[in-house]
Amino acid sequence: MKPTYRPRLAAIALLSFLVTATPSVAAEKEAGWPQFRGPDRNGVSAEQGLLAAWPEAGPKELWRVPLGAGYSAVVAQGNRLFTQFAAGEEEVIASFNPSDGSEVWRVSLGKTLETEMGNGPRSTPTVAGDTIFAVGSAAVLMALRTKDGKVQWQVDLQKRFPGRLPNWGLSTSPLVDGDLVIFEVGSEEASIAAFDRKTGETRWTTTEKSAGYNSPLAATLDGVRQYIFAPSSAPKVISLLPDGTLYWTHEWHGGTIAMPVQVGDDGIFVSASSDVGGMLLRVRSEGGQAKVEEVWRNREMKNHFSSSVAYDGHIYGFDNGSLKCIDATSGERKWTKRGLGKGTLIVAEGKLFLLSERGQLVMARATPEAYDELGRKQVLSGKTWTSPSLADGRLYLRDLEDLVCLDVRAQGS
Amino acid sequence: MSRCEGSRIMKTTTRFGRTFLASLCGLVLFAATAEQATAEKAAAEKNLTVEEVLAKHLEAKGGQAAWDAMTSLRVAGTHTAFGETGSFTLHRQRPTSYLFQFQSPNGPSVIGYDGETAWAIEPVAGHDWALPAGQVDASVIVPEADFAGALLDAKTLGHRVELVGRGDFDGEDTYQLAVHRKDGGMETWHISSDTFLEFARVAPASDYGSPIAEGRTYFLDFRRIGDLMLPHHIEKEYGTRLRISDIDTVTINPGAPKGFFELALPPGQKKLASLAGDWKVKVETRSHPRAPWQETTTTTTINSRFHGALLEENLQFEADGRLQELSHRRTFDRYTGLYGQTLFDNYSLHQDRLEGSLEEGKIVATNLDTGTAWKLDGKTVHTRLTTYDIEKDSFKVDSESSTNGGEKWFLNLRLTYTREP
Repeated sequence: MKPTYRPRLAAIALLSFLVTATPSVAAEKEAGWPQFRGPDRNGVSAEQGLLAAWPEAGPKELWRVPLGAGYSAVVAQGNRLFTQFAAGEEEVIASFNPSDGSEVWRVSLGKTLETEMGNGPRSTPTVAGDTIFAVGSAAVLMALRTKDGKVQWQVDLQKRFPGRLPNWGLSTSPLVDGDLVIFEVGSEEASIAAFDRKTGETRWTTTEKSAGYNSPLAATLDGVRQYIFAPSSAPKVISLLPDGTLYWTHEWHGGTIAMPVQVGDDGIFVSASSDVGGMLLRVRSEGGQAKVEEVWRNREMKNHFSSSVAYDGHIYGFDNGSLKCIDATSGERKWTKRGLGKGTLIVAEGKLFLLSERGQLVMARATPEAYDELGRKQVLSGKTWTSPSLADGRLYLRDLEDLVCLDVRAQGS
Repeated sequence: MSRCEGSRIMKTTTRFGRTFLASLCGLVLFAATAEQATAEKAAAEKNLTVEEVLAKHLEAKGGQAAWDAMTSLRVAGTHTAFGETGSFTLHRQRPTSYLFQFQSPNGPSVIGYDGETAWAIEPVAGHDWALPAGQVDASVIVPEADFAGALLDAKTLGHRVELVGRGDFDGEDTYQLAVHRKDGGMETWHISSDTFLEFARVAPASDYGSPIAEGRTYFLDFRRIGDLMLPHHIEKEYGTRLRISDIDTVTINPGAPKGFFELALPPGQKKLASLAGDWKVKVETRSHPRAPWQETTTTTTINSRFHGALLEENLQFEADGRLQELSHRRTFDRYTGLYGQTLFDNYSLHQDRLEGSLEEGKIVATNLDTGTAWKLDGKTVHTRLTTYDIEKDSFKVDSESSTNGGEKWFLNLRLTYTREP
């Protein structure tokens, strides 16, 4: 029997080496749903033991609490939930108890954003360890203690990086990677900035164009850790190394809101609405230099604000108003389903958890064969543009008025 | 398996077996025949002419008689725009009248076309009152107003339809028909090769005046209403925009009152609208209370500007041996509900601003509270204009003055308007 263990031991040894050899900035992975788009910032949950289809009455609603306006997604860490919303004239970040939705604390992030296109924050906070990092619409970055909301440090971004705020306020969801907090800050002089996670001090900046609505992705592509940006206001995809060095750029369209998506070990998918479409890049490292190849580009997947999910060789997402599955390697459309509006989605256990623009929660199989719906339930009633969050068998949904918790565990799980 | 082989095998089988094989043979033959028929149908349909596609489309939609019998249509249901959902009603009337009313949470919005003027009330675009559409918006609204759509109405409205080809359009096998509109516009319709119902329409779009090269409208969830087949789920996409309409109720031939599709003026403004036009005016004047009335006639034109929001008149007549000239502007303040008027004449050389309300069919406006009275011999002279007996082809105006702050009014001018034929 002993010889059969050798490869496994060798693999473990190699894995240990790789882990210890990973640059110091690599993030420790948070459990739960610690940030925008989940643990890996890709819309995919590793949760198991979930419902295989919606029961006739839909998943059981555990609780529902009123919430102010905003599009910030729910972040979950252990026995705490966090999200941002408008409360009167203020924008706040608040912590909730996942067992009953009761509020634990709330902290003001400044004046709330009011626009004719919908009030409230767009940014989702990021939790890392005992700290949660929140970006307010009015350009404030705060680090708060998760247990009580005590402000550890804060940065007035307009003072530190003067510039014109985007129309819908600062909307990016901060990326926490290692000891850095990284996002677009919106200044002509310093478009993208990295902050020291412990102090808020500026660690590095870039001088690309001003900020938009895009949230960055941390990806390890062909073994190289890098931060991918598709800035709304710059006609290119940008990759930065953890020290802020520009690694590569590739021509792309401005107006990108949806997050870049990692596809496989070396692929990056970006997509934009306004009749632009999507593009898959293959990023390789050759002698320390990036080699970027455009694999395909077409108009099949035009993500607006809702980011796509790459799963099992395919990309699922909202081509503006239609849910689509496209082949990740070719960009070829596999199927289209209309009727969900500008929906949002995540993937877990081989299923698409879809939330329609009108608040219908839909489950469908994540398969390229055909759209295969496994249940539909009206959960929210208002404008629903925030993607679901999944942690510990609980699905968290919100619109501009309510925060809802659903039990999506399979019976007996 | 051929028919001969099947017959040879049947000789050596039991009755059950013969029956089974006969059925099997029949199924195979049926399948082969059906397959052949499908192939023949597909081959034939691949070569359909534009006239044939249009004929099949008309048949699928319910037939000429059903569409001819419908002169107006009202559909209502739920509409989503900017993610906000509310109720909507869409009225259509032959040949090209259109009125879309959306109870958006942001406030009611309306898009209309009366066959001449495209207009809109769009709180999101910064106006919760009716405004004529700009050129780009109008070029999008007008095609939407074709009563039965550009294909069924092509002959009536003078559009030319061309079959471009057949192929996949967003997952649907469709015939692609290019419509060259009479007004020079272009749109493309995709007709399902399976149902011959419209699947999508592609046409230029507008995002509040910004042109968008390609907007797509998808027609889904067709249901039969009487003989008609009508879509009950419609999605419009242009740029980043998405508009979704779900239809709950359909009313055939509801009719519509006169002026229903016209640019929607505030009710108070409509009262003024009838004053526009060419008029013959009987002018009665007197210089003081004991002076005899003098009478003369003249003609005048009251010009309606900004779609009736402002009426302008320059009235001239002879009185007291001199030419009297009066510049008169009327408007309605939709916020205060008051009628505003300005007067400027060649005697006082002073502009009065009058305000008043409509009471018992009379618009009574004064400058008592506007601070614009003029002075004569050290006395403040207030003015009151009363517009009354307002009919379609006639109305009267009394002009009075007061030197005691409106306690007593002196009637010095009466104008009787009769519409010029």
